[in-house]
Amino acid sequence: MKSLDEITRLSAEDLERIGADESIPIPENLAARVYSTVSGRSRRVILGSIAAAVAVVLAGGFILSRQPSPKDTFDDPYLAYAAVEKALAMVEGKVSKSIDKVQQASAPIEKVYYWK
Amino acid sequence: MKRLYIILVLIAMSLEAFAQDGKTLYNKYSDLEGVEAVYISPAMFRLIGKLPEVEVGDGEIDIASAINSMRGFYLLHVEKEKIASDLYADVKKRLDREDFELLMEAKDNGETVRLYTAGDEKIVRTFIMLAREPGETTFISIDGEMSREELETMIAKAAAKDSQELF
Repeated sequence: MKSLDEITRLSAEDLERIGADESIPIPENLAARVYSTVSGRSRRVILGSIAAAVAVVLAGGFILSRQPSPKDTFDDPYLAYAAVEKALAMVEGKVSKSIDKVQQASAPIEKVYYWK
Repeated sequence: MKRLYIILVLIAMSLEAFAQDGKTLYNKYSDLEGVEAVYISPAMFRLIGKLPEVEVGDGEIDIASAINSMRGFYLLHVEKEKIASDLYADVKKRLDREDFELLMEAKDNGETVRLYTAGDEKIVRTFIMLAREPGETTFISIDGEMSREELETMIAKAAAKDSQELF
């Protein structure tokens, strides 16, 4: 039997000639053995990848869940209350500004309606 | 193998989406120069809930009840273009991937304001306001168990009050 080194040194013509030589016996169940080796290896690769993916998810989830909680901006609840109130007033301001736009836009339409 | 890569990419994307919650965004931006940041913890909200009755606004809008149902408050206001656009993009990522409903959108003179809510028909678990104008982004995220009806009534009252003042 040829060693792996000898096989890799063979030219394409040599390989073709040997392949065509029917006197060389083909080992029994060669196809099945090759298939099981390959599929066993790919199964290991798939299982390994799944394990790696699970590890990534667990590690990511762990890191994210360990995010430090921010420090309260205010120590005084009255100041905190005032900050929330101010923020809500800002939201209110933005909402009313957009409502104003709608009303300003609809005002000429009403005028046309009454003029008729 | 291809399928595995797709699964890994999807996992990475979902982790990234998870990483865009209010706390993570706050931790990412609050210490940067030019960023105004306010955080109010659930513990502070519990303290606020125990405050004796305080006069809020003009008394027409029941902000106190809304505040009592809040559990976390994050505010980021940025006036540096690069950071402002990064913050806007990060918040948009979160809004696009999670189950947020656009409550209102207004565009005026280059300013865009969007209000979003997440939760169910009765309870709003997260309320977000995202305002963007050239060189500026404001992000407000409020977590809690707010009654959707109360929140929407409050917004409607605020709008009605201001429009009465206008006309």
